[in-house]
Amino acid sequence: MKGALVVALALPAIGAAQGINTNVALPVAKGEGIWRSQLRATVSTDDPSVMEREVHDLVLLQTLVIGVTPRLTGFATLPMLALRRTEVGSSRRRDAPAFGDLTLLGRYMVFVDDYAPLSTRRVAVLGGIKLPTGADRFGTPSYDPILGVVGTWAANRHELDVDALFRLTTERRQFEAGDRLRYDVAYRYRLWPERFGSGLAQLNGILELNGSWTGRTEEGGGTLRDSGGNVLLIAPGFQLVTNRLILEASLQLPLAQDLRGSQLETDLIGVISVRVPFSLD
Amino acid sequence: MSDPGGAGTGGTLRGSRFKSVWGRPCIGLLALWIWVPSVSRSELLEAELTIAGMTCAFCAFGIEKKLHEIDGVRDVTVLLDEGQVRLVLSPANAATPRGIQAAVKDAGFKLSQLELQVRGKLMSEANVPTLDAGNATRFRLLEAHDGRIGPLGVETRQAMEAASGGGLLRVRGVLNPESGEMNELIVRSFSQDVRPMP
Repeated sequence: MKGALVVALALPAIGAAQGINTNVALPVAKGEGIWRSQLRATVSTDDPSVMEREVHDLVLLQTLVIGVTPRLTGFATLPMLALRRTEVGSSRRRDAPAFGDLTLLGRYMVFVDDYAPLSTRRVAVLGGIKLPTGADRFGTPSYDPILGVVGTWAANRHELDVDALFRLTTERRQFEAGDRLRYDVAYRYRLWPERFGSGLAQLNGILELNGSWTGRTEEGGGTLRDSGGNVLLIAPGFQLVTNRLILEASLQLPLAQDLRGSQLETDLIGVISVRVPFSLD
Repeated sequence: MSDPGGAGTGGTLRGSRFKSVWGRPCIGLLALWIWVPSVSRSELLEAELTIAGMTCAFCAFGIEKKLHEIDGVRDVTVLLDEGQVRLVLSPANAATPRGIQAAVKDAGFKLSQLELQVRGKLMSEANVPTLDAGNATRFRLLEAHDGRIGPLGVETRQAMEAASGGGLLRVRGVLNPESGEMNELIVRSFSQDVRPMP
């Protein structure tokens, strides 16, 4: 469990982000869906202890997005630890792949102002639950409710997305992970084309700030020393968008990390993903 | 003696070998085969939708999918810069303004303006000029003068009646944005509906 938590701060809390690492408040048509597959490679070598630890993770995140009504969108996210290589001094260990916890989330649009072509202001609320479906070493045993809010402001070539999500962890089997607050700001600029014309493909440049605060973990009646903290990442990226496919890549780099105890700090997180729309009928 | 056209003569065609019992039905079927494809019916022909808020190709995909679910939509073109969607409709389509509005709503957007090209029959309901556009759709006809929307003027009405010649009329107009009603059409242009040649 501790091993999972050491690098848990580097994982997206929800994985429902429809920006690269940030949620957006843009609609998904009723009866339509989107499948997103995302690969996240994390390198953590900054060890404040004397153990000379290094952890390399490869996580595959699958997200299914469903347009339930014009205002309500459902998300289901399942992470899979594809590879974890841990080095402690000269010893090395490779963990077998494992599934993580399933997260179910709903997003409901509470404010919509489509005020011009290529322009909109929208706000949505998010609510859901993390289920204890994953392996112990890549998840937590509790049912954790999630609440959040997301806003999108798009104006022609510019877009600003802001989100905040809070996961209230619960205790189960004498274990309670720290509560988690996640907050993100993403700025997207359409690099190409200058004007769409008859074609609908576009190339976006993206710059994100992805932050998280995590509370202390309680286990067996005590508080884990090596748990909790704050992380702020900056993430430049690119997105190629057509009406049938999105390809995107981003590199998350730590701007600030304040982790309690001797938790391993993250060096970088490489992210690539693909999104494909489909119809439910 | 010249053939008076088949009446009482057995329906023989000059130079043909049709027997009298099949001659007239065959001529009738032949005429029907030529005539039927060119019969026009009241219906929407084209639509230009104004939809704000479409910010990317993925938004366009959702709108395209919902509009293609309308029976008879042949082509959907999304113009993101203009915030417009152009529909081309097949003959014998089931498109209605309410159906188009519902499709846009299902995609997560709002239809702010709908411009239509309609083929319909000019009528008068309680002395109000109306266009029957088929599929249970009837438009109250209005026109704009000096930026103000009002009932169809007498001159315009007479010109439309003359153009229709008792048959179908092609009308281009925009749904009244002031009232938000889906059955009030502000006429922009009209012409006689010319049947396509077979």
